[in-house]
Amino acid sequence: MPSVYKTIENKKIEEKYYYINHESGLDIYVVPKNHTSSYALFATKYGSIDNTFKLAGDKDFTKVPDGISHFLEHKLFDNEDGADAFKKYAETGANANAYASFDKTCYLFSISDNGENFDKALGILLDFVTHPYFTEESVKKEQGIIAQEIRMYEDNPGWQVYFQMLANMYKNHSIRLDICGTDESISEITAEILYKCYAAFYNLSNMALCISGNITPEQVIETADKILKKSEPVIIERFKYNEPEGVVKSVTEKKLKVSRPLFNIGLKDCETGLYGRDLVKKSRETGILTEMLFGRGSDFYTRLYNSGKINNNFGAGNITEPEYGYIDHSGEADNPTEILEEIIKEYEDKITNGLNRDDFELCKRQYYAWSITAFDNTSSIANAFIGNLFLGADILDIPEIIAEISFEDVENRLKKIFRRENFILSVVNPI
Amino acid sequence: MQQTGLERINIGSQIYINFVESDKFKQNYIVVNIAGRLEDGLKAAKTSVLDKVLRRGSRNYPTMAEINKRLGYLYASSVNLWSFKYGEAQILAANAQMLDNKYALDETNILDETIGVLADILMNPLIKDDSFDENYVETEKTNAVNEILSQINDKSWYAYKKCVEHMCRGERFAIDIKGEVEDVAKINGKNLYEYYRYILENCAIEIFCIGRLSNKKDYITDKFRDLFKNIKRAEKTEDYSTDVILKAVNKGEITEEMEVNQGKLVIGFRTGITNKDEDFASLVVFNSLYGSGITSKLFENVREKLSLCYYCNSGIDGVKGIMTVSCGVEVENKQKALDEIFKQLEDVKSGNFTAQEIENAKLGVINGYKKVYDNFGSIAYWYFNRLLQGEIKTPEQVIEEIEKIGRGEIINAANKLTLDTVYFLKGTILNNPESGGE
Repeated sequence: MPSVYKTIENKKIEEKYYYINHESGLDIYVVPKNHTSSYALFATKYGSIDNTFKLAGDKDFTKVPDGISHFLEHKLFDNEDGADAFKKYAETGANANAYASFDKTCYLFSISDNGENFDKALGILLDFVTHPYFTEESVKKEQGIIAQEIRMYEDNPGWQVYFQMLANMYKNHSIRLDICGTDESISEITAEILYKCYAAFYNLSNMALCISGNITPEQVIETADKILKKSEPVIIERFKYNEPEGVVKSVTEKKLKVSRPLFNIGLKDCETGLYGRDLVKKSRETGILTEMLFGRGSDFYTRLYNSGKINNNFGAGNITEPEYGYIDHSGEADNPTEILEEIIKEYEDKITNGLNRDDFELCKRQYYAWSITAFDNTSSIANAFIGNLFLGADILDIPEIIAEISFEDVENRLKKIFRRENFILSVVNPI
Repeated sequence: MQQTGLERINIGSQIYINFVESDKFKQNYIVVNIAGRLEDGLKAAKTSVLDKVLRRGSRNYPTMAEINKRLGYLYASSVNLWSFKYGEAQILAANAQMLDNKYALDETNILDETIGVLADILMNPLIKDDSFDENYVETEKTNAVNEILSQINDKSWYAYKKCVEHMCRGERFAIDIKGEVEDVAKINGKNLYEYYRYILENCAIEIFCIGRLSNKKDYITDKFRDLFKNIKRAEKTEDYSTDVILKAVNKGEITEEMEVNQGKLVIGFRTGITNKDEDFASLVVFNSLYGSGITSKLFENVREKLSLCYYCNSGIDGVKGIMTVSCGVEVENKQKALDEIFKQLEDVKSGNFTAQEIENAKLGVINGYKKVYDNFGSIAYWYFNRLLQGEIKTPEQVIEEIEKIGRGEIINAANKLTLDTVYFLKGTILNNPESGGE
């Protein structure tokens, strides 16, 4: 039976998408835009956190070397015919790339064409991601390239101060591990382990394709029909980490060649287990709270900026995922410990004296605006689409979810998230 | 392609407002570019401090908190000021980005009000006795100094900057757009205000408005005309042109040691061609084939074949006429990488590349130019760049030029390159295992 599609629309914000339940087992989403360039994102729900898993029939969990999802991302570009995927893409004019994050691995391209070259590029994307080809020799070679990528991040103070925070915030959860792994862990990677991880996580039922641009669902179906073979769903059991309250170490420092100290101050959020709409609502409640307390219009930002203690690099944001979450306050300061104290004082003050309703309305309004301006760029649309999809949510629902958030919701969020023992200060000091 | 091109209106001596209509976005975008001559560190430092001080407060919004709250209320509109180098011109830019009125949940006129905030920040600053607020100036001087110093945090940027400084010693292009620390120290509220008045009177001003603005053009034009009407504009504005050296004098190799893990190699060339030249399209295609992007010779060989690095790419500055190749590499592999980078260049010079490589290089470039329309910032920058070059061309017109490039033109462009400077930031961490923290 040929694949058909459904149209899902949000008339208020004038956005819609087509959903194709493709016969291969892959869910495909097309978000039509009249932009010149189109963007395609083929993603698997598999990232650095998925380092311990069990497949149907396995007795025990398998633990794989750190950095393997990222390694796999590099290696999938190799093809059996010897031509790597970049070379094939080059003939279409597509600008291709890939990235591996904590919870997903994404293969993407953008192209200023919605006809033959787009179809060709999409065919290349679907083909190389579904056809792994690894040899011991090619794995060896990649170890050299990835070692240089690791060296580059070792010299990147922003990256270091952030990952140092995560490594010392989480006691058990695999979010504490660097996405690229280490020289040692990547040296343990073999073609065989790559194939094993591939078989587990690169199953079409664990993947999704999102295309944003001036593209029709029909042309996407046509290409998908040609390339994708039907695959039976694979049931993956991911190891559930039991993450307690508290942090590994409340202050952690390292020295690098920087002009002045950089800091990430994390507030770990141990209320996990939410999914879908509830998760998105919680995420935006936390976002509005952070904006009220630490945003550009806040008393905190004004006071510390005016006194020269922070500069416009300061920012606060939140990560709210099913299994982990935190508020992250980052910037540069001569005395990061003082900033930590100021931040804690600010939370305590708001818990004692209450939040301001006008601030709430203002920040909620900003979040509403951002949920709409997110549709201005095809790459951010596709990335946000997949991000929400993998959390069980729909990008078109976000303006409405934000509208539902009340002042009391945000007050509750503040009370729930604030725990002194969950703070961590990560600093990179000058050598 | 549903593009209408540029509508350009003169609203004062060397002041133009430019409209590009686009219905692709949920936001509208306005940017004011004030273009002057990159002269010396002090002038650069003044521009850097000025863009920060202006953003601190205006007459109607005297504090940053008031500005930011107002913008938040306007559905998260943003107003940003910054300065950047364009060849040997220095540009002070102020932009405003705003949700289109149709998405407001109430009667707020986001466009009007946001232009109002932008105008107040730029043209109605907080002045007392012909001076900016000294407190604001002092804090922003500190921030400006920190910006200068923190450039060391990004090692590949730092290496690029150092290479260019060595290469262009004595040329204005070597001036840091943020100035030097000792320049910042010379700034006070009074001389900064003088400088502010000076650039408003003596620099060319180009304003760009992108979005769904067809029925608001007259309104916006009048508003900006009004803003500048009391400024005594000079008849002749500052010369922001760039001096070009067509052929390099080889300055050899410069090595600087730093406590980092990875070495950063930056190789500087003079291209002999600038974006004002007819054969600029050849240089662009050459650069694509040789080193920009993931199917170039550098990526293919230095990274994929030899596994020497994670990144190795070339980039051109078409205004100044230079090309740099950047590569992050293990210190002990520096020479290997260098040899391969030169070998690949020799290959292109002698025509050792396929017809497919030419096609790929052109397609990659064309793909990039077509994408200009998909981002309001890129649209504004595209036309600003064209205006500074002295000829307005649409991306389609430039694409036509690219399509005409063949093997001969690429070889010619490659042979015009001359090697100027090799800069190596040598990581020393392996020699000092205790440093670098835990």
